[in-house]
Amino acid sequence: MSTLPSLILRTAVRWIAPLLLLFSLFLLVRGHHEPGGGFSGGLIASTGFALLTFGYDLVTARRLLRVHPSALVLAGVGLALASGAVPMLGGQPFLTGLWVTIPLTGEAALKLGTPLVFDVGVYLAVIGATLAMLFAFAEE
Amino acid sequence: MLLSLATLAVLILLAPIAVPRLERRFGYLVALASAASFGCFGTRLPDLFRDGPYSESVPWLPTLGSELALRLDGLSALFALLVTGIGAVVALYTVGYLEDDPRLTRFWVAFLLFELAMLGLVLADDLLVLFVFWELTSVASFFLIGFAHDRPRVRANAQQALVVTGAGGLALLAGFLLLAQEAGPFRLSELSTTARLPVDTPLASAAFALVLLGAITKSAQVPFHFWLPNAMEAPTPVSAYLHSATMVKAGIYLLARLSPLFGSHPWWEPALVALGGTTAVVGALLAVTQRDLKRLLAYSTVAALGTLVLLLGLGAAAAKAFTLFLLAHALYKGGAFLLAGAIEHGTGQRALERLGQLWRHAPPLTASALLVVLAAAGLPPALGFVAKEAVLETGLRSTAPFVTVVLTGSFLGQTAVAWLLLRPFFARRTPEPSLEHPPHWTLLSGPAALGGAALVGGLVVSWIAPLVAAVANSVTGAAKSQVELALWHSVTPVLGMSVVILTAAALLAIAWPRCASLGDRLALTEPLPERPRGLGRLAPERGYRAGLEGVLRLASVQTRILQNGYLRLYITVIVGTAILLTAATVLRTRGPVASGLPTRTPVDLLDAILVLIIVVSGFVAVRASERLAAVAALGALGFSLALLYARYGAPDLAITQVLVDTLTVVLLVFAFYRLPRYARLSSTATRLRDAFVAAIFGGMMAGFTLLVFALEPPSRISTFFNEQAYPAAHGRNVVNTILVDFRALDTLGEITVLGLASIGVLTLLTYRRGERTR
Amino acid sequence: MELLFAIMVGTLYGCALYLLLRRSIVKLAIGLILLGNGANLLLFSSGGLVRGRPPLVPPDGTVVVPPAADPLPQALILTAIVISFGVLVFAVALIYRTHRALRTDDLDDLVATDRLGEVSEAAHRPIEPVAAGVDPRSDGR
Repeated sequence: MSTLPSLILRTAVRWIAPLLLLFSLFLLVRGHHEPGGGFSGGLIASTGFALLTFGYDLVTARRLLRVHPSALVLAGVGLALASGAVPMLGGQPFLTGLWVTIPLTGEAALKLGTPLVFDVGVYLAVIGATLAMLFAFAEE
Repeated sequence: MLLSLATLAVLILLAPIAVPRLERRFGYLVALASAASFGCFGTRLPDLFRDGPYSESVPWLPTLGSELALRLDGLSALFALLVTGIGAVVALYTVGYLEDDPRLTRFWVAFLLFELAMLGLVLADDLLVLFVFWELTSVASFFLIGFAHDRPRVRANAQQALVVTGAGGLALLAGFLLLAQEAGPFRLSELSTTARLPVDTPLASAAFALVLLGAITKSAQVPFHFWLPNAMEAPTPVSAYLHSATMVKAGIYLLARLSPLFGSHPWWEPALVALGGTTAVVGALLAVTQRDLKRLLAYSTVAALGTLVLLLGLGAAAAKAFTLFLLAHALYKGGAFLLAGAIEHGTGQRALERLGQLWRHAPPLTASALLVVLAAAGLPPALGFVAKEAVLETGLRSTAPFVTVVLTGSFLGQTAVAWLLLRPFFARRTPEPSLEHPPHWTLLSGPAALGGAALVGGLVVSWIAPLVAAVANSVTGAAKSQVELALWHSVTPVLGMSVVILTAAALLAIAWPRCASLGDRLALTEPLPERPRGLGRLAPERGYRAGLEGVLRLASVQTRILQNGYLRLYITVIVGTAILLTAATVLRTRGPVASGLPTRTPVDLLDAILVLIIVVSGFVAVRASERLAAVAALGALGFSLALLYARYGAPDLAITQVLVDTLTVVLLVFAFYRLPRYARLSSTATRLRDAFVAAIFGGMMAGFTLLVFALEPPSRISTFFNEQAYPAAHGRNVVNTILVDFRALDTLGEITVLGLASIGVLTLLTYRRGERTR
Repeated sequence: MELLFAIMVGTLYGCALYLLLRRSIVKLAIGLILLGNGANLLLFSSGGLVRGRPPLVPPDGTVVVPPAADPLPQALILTAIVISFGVLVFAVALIYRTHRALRTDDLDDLVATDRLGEVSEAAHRPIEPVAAGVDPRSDGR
């Protein structure tokens, strides 16, 4: 690859990749009420790392991810399982949604529940699986 | 009862840990547990005689209406005592027999599994439970016969036993299912009271035939008897336990258990008398011509099993004789096998003509041998004597004279086999064989215990009477009856027959070398060779072999035709079948889509353009002569699809589709970059044919889609999600609530699959060994 | 619009089948993608077509106001898209490995199973590894 397009790509990636990661978190968080969620968020994040792989190289992308993608898969599936197991402690069936309401100032209140944790698990697992495949191909 | 089963189950789990530590001493533990169970069942007997049967049950498979129901009545108690009692003796014996064999863990697991299954089988009160245990005994028997699995012959014989009894098991299952269909799922205990079948309906007859097939394969009746002598490749404790005392009697047990139900069936008596009679005579004839000690005993067991089936066929009149002979035979034949095992263990020899004069070298073994022989020959005061008297008396009272002839002939053979057990100890033999080492005490205790029990059984026969009565009640389905038993009747015709049989059998045993050489000439003494000669050509085992070969040939032919390895042929067959079935349905119902095309949504120009792009991209992907062009077309297709999703109320799908599409294109560019260029691999004719099939398929799917539109979608589920998403799952995005809440289990499965796929990819791409280099 | 959708689904299925019937492994992979898209569209159609009304609960309400697109097929398709992506990547990796090992793109060159017909004679011999499976008799093309 010649230097010039690589330079442009690098500069672009430098800005776009963090934005994509941020956007992926945004999609993940808003997914419960608006279009988005763990799947699309995870895929966006993977796209960010894919760009990093092209713009820089595999080593950089791996270094920025910090952990092995397979570990992310494990963490994701584990988190999803754990979120499902929590209700079992209270004698409810596996994967029952549990919610707590945290009152904030004024009218607003924050509702948190195990399905959100589950979605985070999906997010992590999707990132991990996609990147594991992508990195494996990039290495070849 | 449950406690006994649970103890055995715990021992099975314990075995893999305990056996390597305790080695042979684990056998003591098994013997102790079995003996304790034996004691438990024994102490229940007085209650049983007084209050009648006793039940326990725990819920199991409630959806199938099946419970783990156990019931102890006379018949079950007799078998349970045999299973645990002989189990204890054999376990003890194994300590000295297998010593510290490296495969001891396997042995004990299979042994305990068998004991558990057999005990469960005889205690089960539910047809389904009984069947499960029935199959487990076959499986455990397979592992036990195949103990010395490094010898091909052992493997083949273990497989034979499994195939024959397993096939019978399938027939039995079918029979049980028919029974359940006819009478409803029922308890065995209800047989004698409520569940009266209309016995001569065709369905009931079929059920009877199938159950009978299961029973006679398990109990080695002619023509399925061949697996039993071949199963003698098992270690001798196994032969004693499974193949003479317990497992082969499972078929007998089943017939006895079901006799209140089927006993009035018109086929019952002729079928059982014919099968049992043939088996009794054939077994006896084959037994006296054998040279191998264990095969000798095996054929004599076949004869005894035939006698038992014959007695069952005679009905209520023979119930007492049946019970006595069952008990006596289990004891003395188990003892005889253990004796044979002790002889083999000491001398390394099993051929009868090479053994002799062991009484000089092993007086204790000789003593236990005498016990066993006296019991097996049925001399007073042995239980065998009482049993034989009862059986012969039944024969004399039977209306058909040939029954007496058959019984006499069979007893002649069986008694001769008993006398033949004396040969290893007293026959003259030069050079004199010697014991390699004095037998371990456990090797002596086995035959001594069983033989002793059978020998003194006759003295205490009045104690056994209530048990016999209880068993007879179970077999006949009667409520209560009395049985009088005594060791000595006055001089009767039956006694005369006994004397004649004993004498004739002794003469036969003396003339045994001639019998054996006759057997050699007729090719009956050896296991069936690859190319049978003589009478071996008539052996039913050839049918088994031919069947097995036929199955293999069929498998290889159908593999060549159906599993041909060409993906496109598979797909063509699948799609072709789908097309033909659809066409047939459409033709038969005269077209389901006649009600006009659904045009509820007006055509929108932008949507139409997107559809056009998708259709064109599809064709481009097909026709592209460059891989990258095809990938580009796929990209265009995917993005248009995403836009379409977005316009039809599916923003989540649109986002996901775009992202997946991007990643797919990137990946394909990566991967295909290194792959070879397209080559023209198939002829134009093939292409046209495939295009034709594809066009029909596409047309069919288009029609199907129209049909889908024309049908009113079932809205109940979606309505539920639409209404409950916010109140129940606290989410405004219904699709997301389905994914992470309502159907979260599916999503969990999905991310697991995705993770597994990624592991697969990693493995495929990073595994470098064994690569082909050119 | 329904008719157009039907034509589109039919085209995708037909093209996919044609590609699946090719001997080239790469075409097989492309066929798989088309098949996945076709199936997703068919599933999407089963919910009926509702333009521009996603199944979202409005901020001032507690239920989705009909008419709205059917959420159930969407949830199914969403999973299907991601799963087919995983399957596709696995297939591509497999193709890639096959090509590396055998240097061929032709499905008919993968002939290890052809020997199954001879198994009855050779039942006791272990089956040789797949990588050695290029049949010298076949001219390949």
